[in-house]
Amino acid sequence: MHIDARKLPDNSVIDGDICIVGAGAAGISIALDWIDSPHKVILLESGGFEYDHEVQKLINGSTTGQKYFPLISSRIAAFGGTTGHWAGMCSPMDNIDFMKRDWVPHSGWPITRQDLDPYYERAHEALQLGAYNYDLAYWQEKTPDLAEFALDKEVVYTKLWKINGARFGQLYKESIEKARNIHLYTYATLTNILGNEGLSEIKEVTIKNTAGKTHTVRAKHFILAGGSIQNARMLLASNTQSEKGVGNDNDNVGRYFMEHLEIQSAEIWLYKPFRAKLYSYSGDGGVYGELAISEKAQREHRILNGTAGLVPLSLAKGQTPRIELWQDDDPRKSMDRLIKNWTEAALEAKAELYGEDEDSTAPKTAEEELMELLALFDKLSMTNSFETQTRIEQSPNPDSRVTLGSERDALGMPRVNLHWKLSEIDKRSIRTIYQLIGEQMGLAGLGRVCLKEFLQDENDNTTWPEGTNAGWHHMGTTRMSDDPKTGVVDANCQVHGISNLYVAGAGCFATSAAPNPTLTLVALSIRLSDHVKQKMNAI
Amino acid sequence: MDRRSFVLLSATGAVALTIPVACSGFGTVRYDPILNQPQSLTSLLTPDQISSIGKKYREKVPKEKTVNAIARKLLDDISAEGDALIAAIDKKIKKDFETGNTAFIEGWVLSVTEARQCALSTLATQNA
Ligand SMILES: Cc1cc2nc3c(=O)[nH]c(=O)nc-3n(C[C@H](O)[C@H](O)[C@H](O)COP(=O)(O)OP(=O)(O)OC[C@H]3O[C@@H](n4cnc5c(N)ncnc54)[C@H](O)[C@@H]3O)c2cc1C
Repeated sequence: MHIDARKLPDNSVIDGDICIVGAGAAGISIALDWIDSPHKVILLESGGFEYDHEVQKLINGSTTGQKYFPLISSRIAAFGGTTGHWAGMCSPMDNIDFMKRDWVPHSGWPITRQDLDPYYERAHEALQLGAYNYDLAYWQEKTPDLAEFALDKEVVYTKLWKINGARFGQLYKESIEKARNIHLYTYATLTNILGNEGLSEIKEVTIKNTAGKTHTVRAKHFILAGGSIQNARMLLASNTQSEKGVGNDNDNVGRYFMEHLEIQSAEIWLYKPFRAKLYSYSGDGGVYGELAISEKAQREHRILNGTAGLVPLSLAKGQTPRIELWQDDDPRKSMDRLIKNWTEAALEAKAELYGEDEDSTAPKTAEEELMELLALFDKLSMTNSFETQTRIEQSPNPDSRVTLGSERDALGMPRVNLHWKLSEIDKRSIRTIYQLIGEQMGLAGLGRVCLKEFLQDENDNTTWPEGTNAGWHHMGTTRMSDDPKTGVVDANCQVHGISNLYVAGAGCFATSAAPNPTLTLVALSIRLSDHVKQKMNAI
Repeated sequence: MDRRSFVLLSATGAVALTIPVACSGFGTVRYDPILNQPQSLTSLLTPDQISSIGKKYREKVPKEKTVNAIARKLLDDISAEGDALIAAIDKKIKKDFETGNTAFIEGWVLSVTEARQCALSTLATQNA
């Protein structure tokens, strides 16, 4: 069922059993899990079904510290959330990612990879990723030319990703609208959370919209699923009962913001051309691989978990760092610039290698262009020189944080400032990863590796190049910990000290691992959904 | 005196050099000048890059600043020439990578053996 909250009489009161705030990957995954249950689910979404720049402006904020994307365009505020233009790269975290590592400050989750495994499988369904199988041999049997570099797996192995840019807005609109017990309210932005005296239980939330309406939502359980930055903002800005906000007695809300460093780091030069289909982003073959560092080597060298993606050097030469291309306030324009740059780089590489295409100017549909681009990536992947793009967790850093600023948005909510801060171990780890890959390439007699200039001085672990990209992955800010002193939510994603308030999303990550976050955040959300079901059934 | 010719690519083009295999005098090391060429790198790096790596290596390891010092290190247990020397050096390079005996120079992750060869090649050019 869908209701446009702009059309409700002002000051309406909405009642339900569960209130989910935010209809993106996390919120929709949970809502789907409750379809046809006897419970009334209220799903609140800030935006409508289509992109609306007035709503988008509500999530704007400022950034300081390490250069970042404009906050306004790093998320999409509409039904479906940021899956509206995500790339769909998915891979589960590794065992080590959940462990306490004495060389990574603030590491360690209160759950293990095994706890998440059944939920990863269910997340695969929601994300329409096909078989939950990340075993290379399985995929090589299906696609024989997925050759792997013959490196010592005790040090460097190939980690797999599956790619499917599932657009939740399109995929699940009908199911949600048709579901009898799911009440989707669009143009319903949460602006305040109110609890009982002592704030041990949430009673209601206030929602507003750009039509000037204010409503109240009451429920038994509240799940914040607005994305890591907005979830922290909702908790911090709900300060009418407690100056520090909700769930923030220990000043942890907003802290430990993490991103994935995605940065051009090295070149690999091979003696012989290699058919790198497995490592090509063409999507052909069902999986995509990156060179990864074994748990054993991570321990031995006391480094973070990170991987190296391979881009044919001919293609990489023409690619501009995304952090430079993605600076428009309108995410759609930034996306266009990015695709344009990649297409031009691919065409230049093609022209250089194979000469001009006769019909390269013939008009094509966007779909045709994309298919051509992917085919081109595949073709260029037969080469002897690659640029590597690192994908690495950042060490959890309490000073990397989201705080409230003094400016307010059109609904009167304080805007946020994101101070993104990196640590020395982040840079040292990237360097070590390529030194290890270099050693293994040498040992295997395949070629040699050359690290980019910013990594060459082993005494410099603090300066970063202009083109230091992030992955648009917002993590941390409401981190998971058994101890309320060191985290915002517990192992079930329940806010410490508040019996019916939960957070869904990558904000709960205690560490960020190497893979893109959405598969894990959806798995964690479905696990939370089960937990709330159990709690409701127990009553 | 045994003499052997080889071609060393330099920034200015191909330069034919003739290097003495053995020098007269106390303590000098006899070696096949093929050793001056880091075979494992010539197809991947330009002569300029090889020379630059060689110079950096000598800066980093001042103890190895003469042809003799470097050649001695390279040949410690090898007494071969020609293809056999190349094979023996290849083995040494592999061993370096296996044991982590690597050099990180100008961004390149190299075996110490091949870094020494780069250093030797710069000295050989100077002495030519
Ligand atoms: C260009 C790009 C490429 C990406 N590629 C990948 C990728 O390849 N792989 C990957 O794993 N991840 C990728 N991501 C990240 C991925 O999109 C996010 O991890 C994922 O969408 C987060 O899901 P979410 O539900 O937590 O938040 P979102 O999807 O952002 O959804 C949150 C929803 O909550 C709503 N909301 C926010 N605040 C409020 C409020 N106060 N009241 C009501 N509603 C609210 C928002 O409007 C939004 O619809 C990419 C992101 C971008 C921008």
